[in-house]
Amino acid sequence: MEFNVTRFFNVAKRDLIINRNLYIGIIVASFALGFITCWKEWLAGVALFLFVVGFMVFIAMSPFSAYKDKRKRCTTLLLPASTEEKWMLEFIKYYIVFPVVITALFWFGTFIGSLVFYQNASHFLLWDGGIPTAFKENIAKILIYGYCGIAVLYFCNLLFKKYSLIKIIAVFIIYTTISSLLSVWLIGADVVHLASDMQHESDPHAIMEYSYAFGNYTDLMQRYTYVITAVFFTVLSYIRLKKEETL
Amino acid sequence: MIEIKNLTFGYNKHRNIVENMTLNIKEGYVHGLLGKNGTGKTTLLSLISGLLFAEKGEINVDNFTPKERKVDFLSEIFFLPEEFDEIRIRIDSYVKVNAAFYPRFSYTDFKQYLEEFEISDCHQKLSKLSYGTKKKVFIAFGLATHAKYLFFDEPTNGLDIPSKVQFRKIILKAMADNQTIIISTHQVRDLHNLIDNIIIMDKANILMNASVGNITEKLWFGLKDKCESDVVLYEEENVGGKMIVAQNTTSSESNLDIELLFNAAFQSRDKFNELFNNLKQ
Repeated sequence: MEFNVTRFFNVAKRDLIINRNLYIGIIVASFALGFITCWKEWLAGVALFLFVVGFMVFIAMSPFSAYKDKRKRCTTLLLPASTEEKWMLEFIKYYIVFPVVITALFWFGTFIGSLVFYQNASHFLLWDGGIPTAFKENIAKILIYGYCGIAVLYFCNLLFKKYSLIKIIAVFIIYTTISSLLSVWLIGADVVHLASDMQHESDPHAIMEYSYAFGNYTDLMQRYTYVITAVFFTVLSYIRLKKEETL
Repeated sequence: MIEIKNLTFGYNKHRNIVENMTLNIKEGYVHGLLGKNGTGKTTLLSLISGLLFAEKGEINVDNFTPKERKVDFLSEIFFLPEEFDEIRIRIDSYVKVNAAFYPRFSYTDFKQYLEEFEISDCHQKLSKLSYGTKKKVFIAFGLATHAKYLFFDEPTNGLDIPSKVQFRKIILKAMADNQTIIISTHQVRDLHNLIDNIIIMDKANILMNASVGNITEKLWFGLKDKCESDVVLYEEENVGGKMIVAQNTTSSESNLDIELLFNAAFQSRDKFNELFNNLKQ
C-alpha cells in the first residue's frame, strides 16, 4: 500500500484547482437555495426539493467523474500518485466534505435569508440550526446507511461509464430490494418464532416487550447487513480502480 | 530498458492488436514507432504506460510492471496522447498543480521550451488555446518533467511546419543521456534527423526494430541510376528520377529516408524479416 500524506494533499490541491468552477457553482447554489427559502413561503418547499434532489444527483453522479471520459481517465491514471491516494480523495470528498459543506452552506443561506427578509436570525422557515433529537439518537445508523449508499455509488460510478445516472438508479432499486429481502430472510426464522410465542401471550406488556426485542433485533441485523454491504462495495471499488484501463 | 515478452492484447476476443510480441527498447535513444493506421502503435504505448493490461505476456520497465502503476514508475514516465483532456485552467496553474508529482521538474526549462515554441503568455487558459498550441504546452511540460521515459503519440499532428522543426530541435536539445523517448507517428517525414532507432509495427507484431546505423549498413537509399546493388527492395517515381531502397551489398554510404524505408518495409516484408531478424534488439 502506497500512501503519502504530502502527495495526497497535492492530489487534493490539483483536484481543487482543476474543478474550481464546479465547486464554486456548488457553493453558490447551496447558499442561494438556502437563501431563497426565506424569501417567499411557497418557494421554501421548491427550494428544499431542488436542494435535496440536486444534492442526491450530485452525490450519485460525481464520484470518479474523472474516470468516465477516456481522455480524463488517461490523465488521472497516469498522474504519479497511488491508487490509494486517488481513491481516498474521492471517498473523503463525497462522504465527508461535500455533505458537510453543502449542508452548512444551505443552513448559512437560510440564516442570512432570515436576517435579510425578516431582520431576525431566529426566524427560520425550515431549520433553526439545531440538531434534531431523532438525528442525534440515530447518528450511527445514519452514518452507516449513508456510508453504505456512498459505497454502492462509488462502485457504480466506476463500473458505468455511459448513462450512469439511469444505471445507478436501477442498481439502487435492485440493491434496496435485495437488501430488504436479505434482512427479511436473515430475521425470518426469528419472526416466525416470535410470532408463535406472541400468539400464546395475552399480557399486553409481554407483547410490547416481544415487539421491542424484535425491533432491536431487526435493527441490529439491518445494521450488520448495511455494514457488510458497505465494506464489500468499498473494497470492490478499490479493486475496480486498480484494474481501471483506458479501453 | 523496456522489455516486452510474448505480449498479446486485443480490445475484443476476435482480433488481437498485439500478438505474441517480443521487443526490447534500449534506453538513452529516441525511438520512432512507425506503422500504418490501426496497427497498434497507441495500444503499445498504452500497454507500456500501464493504461492497458495485456492478456498474455510481460512488460518490464526498469523492473517495474506498468499495470501495477506504482508511484515511482508513474513519476518516471510522461505519456502525451494524441487526444488529451480538456482542462479549463491557465497554463501556469496547470504547471503548478502537476509539477509537484515529478521530482525533477524544472520551471526554468519549461519556460524556455515555451519560449522556443513562441508561447510567451503563461496566463492563457488551456481551453482557449488551439489544438497545436495546447500540444506545444504539453510537450514543453513533458520535457520539463525530465522523466526517464517520454512517450509522444503523434506529437506533430496539428503542429505547423515551423513548429515541427522547432519540435525536433527542442527534443534533441532537451534529451538527456539516460532518457528514452518513443515517438509514435505515421507522419514519418516529421522524424527526419531526430530518431536513433526505428521500430515498424505491422500485423500485430514488430516488422523491424533497428538503429539508423544498422539500417544504413544493410540498406541503400537514393536514385536508381547511382545504385550499385542488384537487390532493389522498393522504388518510386520522383521529380529527380527513380528513388530506390536497395540491399547495401557494397557497403556504400547513404542517407536514411524514413518514408522510403517505411514503404519498402511493407512492400518487401519477407526480405525485411530476413535482413533485420538478427537485428531485433
